[in-house]
Amino acid sequence: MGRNVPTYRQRLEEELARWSRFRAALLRSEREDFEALTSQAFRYVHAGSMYPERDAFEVMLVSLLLAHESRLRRIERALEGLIGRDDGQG
Amino acid sequence: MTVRGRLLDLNVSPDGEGVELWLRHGERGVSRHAFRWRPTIYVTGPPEALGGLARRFEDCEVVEVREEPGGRPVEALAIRVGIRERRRVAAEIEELGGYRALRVHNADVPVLQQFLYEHDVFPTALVELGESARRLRALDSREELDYDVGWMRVAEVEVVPEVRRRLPSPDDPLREVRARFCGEEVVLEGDEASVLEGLKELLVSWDPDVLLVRDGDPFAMRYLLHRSSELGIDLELGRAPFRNASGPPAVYWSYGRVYRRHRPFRLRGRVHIDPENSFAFSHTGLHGVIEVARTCVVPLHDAARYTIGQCMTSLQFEVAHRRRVLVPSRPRRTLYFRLRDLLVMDRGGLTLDHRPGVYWNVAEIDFQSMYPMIITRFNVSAETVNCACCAVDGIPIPEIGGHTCRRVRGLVPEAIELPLRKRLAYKRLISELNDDQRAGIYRARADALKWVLVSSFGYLGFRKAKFGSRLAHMAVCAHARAALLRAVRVAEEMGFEVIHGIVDSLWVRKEGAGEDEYRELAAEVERATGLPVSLEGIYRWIAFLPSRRDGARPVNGRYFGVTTDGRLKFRGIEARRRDVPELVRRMQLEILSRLSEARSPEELGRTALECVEVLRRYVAALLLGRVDPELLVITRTLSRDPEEYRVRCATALAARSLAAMGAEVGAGSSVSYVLTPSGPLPYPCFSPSGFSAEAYVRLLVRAASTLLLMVLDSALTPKFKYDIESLIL
Repeated sequence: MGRNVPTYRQRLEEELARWSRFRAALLRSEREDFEALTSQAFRYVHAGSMYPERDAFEVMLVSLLLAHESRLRRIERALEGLIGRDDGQG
Repeated sequence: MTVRGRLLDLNVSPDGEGVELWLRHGERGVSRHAFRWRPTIYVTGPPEALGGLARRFEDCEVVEVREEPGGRPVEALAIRVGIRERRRVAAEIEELGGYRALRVHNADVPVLQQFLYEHDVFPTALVELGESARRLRALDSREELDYDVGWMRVAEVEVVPEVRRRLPSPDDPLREVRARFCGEEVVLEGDEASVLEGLKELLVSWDPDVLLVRDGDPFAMRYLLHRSSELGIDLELGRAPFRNASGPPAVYWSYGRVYRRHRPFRLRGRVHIDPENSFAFSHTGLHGVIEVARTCVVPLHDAARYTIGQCMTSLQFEVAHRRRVLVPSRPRRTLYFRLRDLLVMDRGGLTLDHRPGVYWNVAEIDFQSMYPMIITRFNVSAETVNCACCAVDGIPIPEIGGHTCRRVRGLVPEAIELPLRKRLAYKRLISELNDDQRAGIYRARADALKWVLVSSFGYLGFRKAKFGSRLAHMAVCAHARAALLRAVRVAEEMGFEVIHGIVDSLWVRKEGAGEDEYRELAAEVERATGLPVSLEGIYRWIAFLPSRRDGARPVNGRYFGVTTDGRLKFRGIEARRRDVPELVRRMQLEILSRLSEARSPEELGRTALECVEVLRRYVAALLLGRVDPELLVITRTLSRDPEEYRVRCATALAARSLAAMGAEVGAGSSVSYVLTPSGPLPYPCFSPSGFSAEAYVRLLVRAASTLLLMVLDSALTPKFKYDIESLIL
């Protein structure tokens, strides 16, 4: 039991493996970006595993957007802090 | 005249016409009673076919039973058959019905267990045997927590052959026998005949009920008999002669590990346990074995050797017997799923990955016995899932839909109620008790029951389980995921940050939170989910580790930390693994205990740096050859037979050379070896100076960096960390 179907984590790995030729064609710095991007998808495996009927690629896309949103908001907050301090001094 | 005594053991009588009961009467000895009895098999099918069948058997009657737990009552032909003929008769009836019309039940319920269920007695119970051994009843209850086993006389025997080659063989003469009984130890040595005569006398004067013999099943017992017959000595190890069939060991998988179980060597009127060949004994000792025998209604010989799943199955058979539900010859509930449905339904527990790092003031809250609790609370059993009687108001199953029965107790939940209730009662007694010795006994019993309970869930989905169902298995998983998600919500609403969650445990933190606040959280989760939750501990700090291959990815279940009361807790690191040499374990524990003293992040970083010195000391001792070679032994369990390994890994090589020496090694065997410059060498042939220092230094460095890199990583700047890494590696 429990080994009849791949888990979302496994399906995500499989999905990424399908991108190997794409990845291979990237330049070194681009490849590093690619790794950094795709590894973000693993932050949301717990949520992905709760939506098993959805295609892994689609769940991955939303996961990456979510990671993007999360970083964006962090940067915004940090930036607001900086601007706020500037305002205070100015 | 009636006889009273403790039911020590039972076996099929030599003529096959019943069972033999062995009763202990305190100091007055043990008595044997032949009990004429035949097991029952049940046949269901069209009435005319049953009628025809009834004419062929003398001892049969039509009874009302249920073919499956939730089914309607049907008529079945109950046939009493001889113990030895049971399987043959069952096969003949199936053939007669063309393998379709007639269904045979209960033909593979272990016969001694069937006897126990039928007479409502259990091993070690105080029983009363009626007139001419035809009536039997228990004066004692399986519910009893504080039962007496002080009457049981236990002797331990160690057999030491004079090994002529590297491995013991039946033709090696007996060198000595060590025996222990009631705190007395006797060493028998000298010429072989006198050792064997001495053992014979000891067995008579001590008159033990239980013999604990290391390696008794695969070797020692047969060896003793072989040696005595060579010397013409009439040695009787039991209370009467018994013929044991010999054969190859059974190899099986259980929870991700391969086990090898040797054929039992049974005694008549005396219980033989091989501590090395007993899951229950090696985990919980004799008290655990006795608890399993009583609760699960399994003879002591078997309780010591059964897998936890077989014990669980016995509990289910017992409930089935009481409810007049038949045990099918083969599981008939075949359900087919579409892949798409499986993808949705067939999932395990939920995991919330951690972000690798060191966290301070973290609490772990656990669902207690989560799966068994779900099974009983939501009444999950094969027949209760989507029952017809609760189509409108059943207990809903989250995510996957459907329901479980609200009206009739399921067979699986009923079977685990007793062990679950007893385990909780033992745990309560342990916490209330000030008597260490009693508490130790209760702990062994509670642990033994825990193992049995663990299997209750796995067996729901096991294809050979008689009362399993994949749907029920999936329903339990769905409830478990829902409960953990609910717990996460509750924690977040109460202002806690969830760091990590696996199936039934949750790690949370909150700035400045104390024990009271964490307890309140546990209580709140318990209220919200209806499942018992406990505060497992509060960590002063805990380090969650990343994967070795990819430092950014977490590995679940790999962590170490120290609780606020100073206890170390670690999982998945080298010190926890069975296949790591003692030297590496010692070093890791030393480093861990140093780290555990740190009270602040800065102090932790500083201590970690100091710990590099510990590694240096171990490496130096290794290079200077000042290490006890026993500390270098690596022991691993083979997952397959030696010749089946395709990769030339150390374990396979060591196993092959052991096999070449004539040792009996196969899947499930443990193999001990030492790493040498020319490859792994089985431990028995190893000479102390020949180990490969390089290989062991590598293991030490690896184990030290598991602990130190993570801690330093969180304490130091990236630049400094890089320097440290190059310093260590």
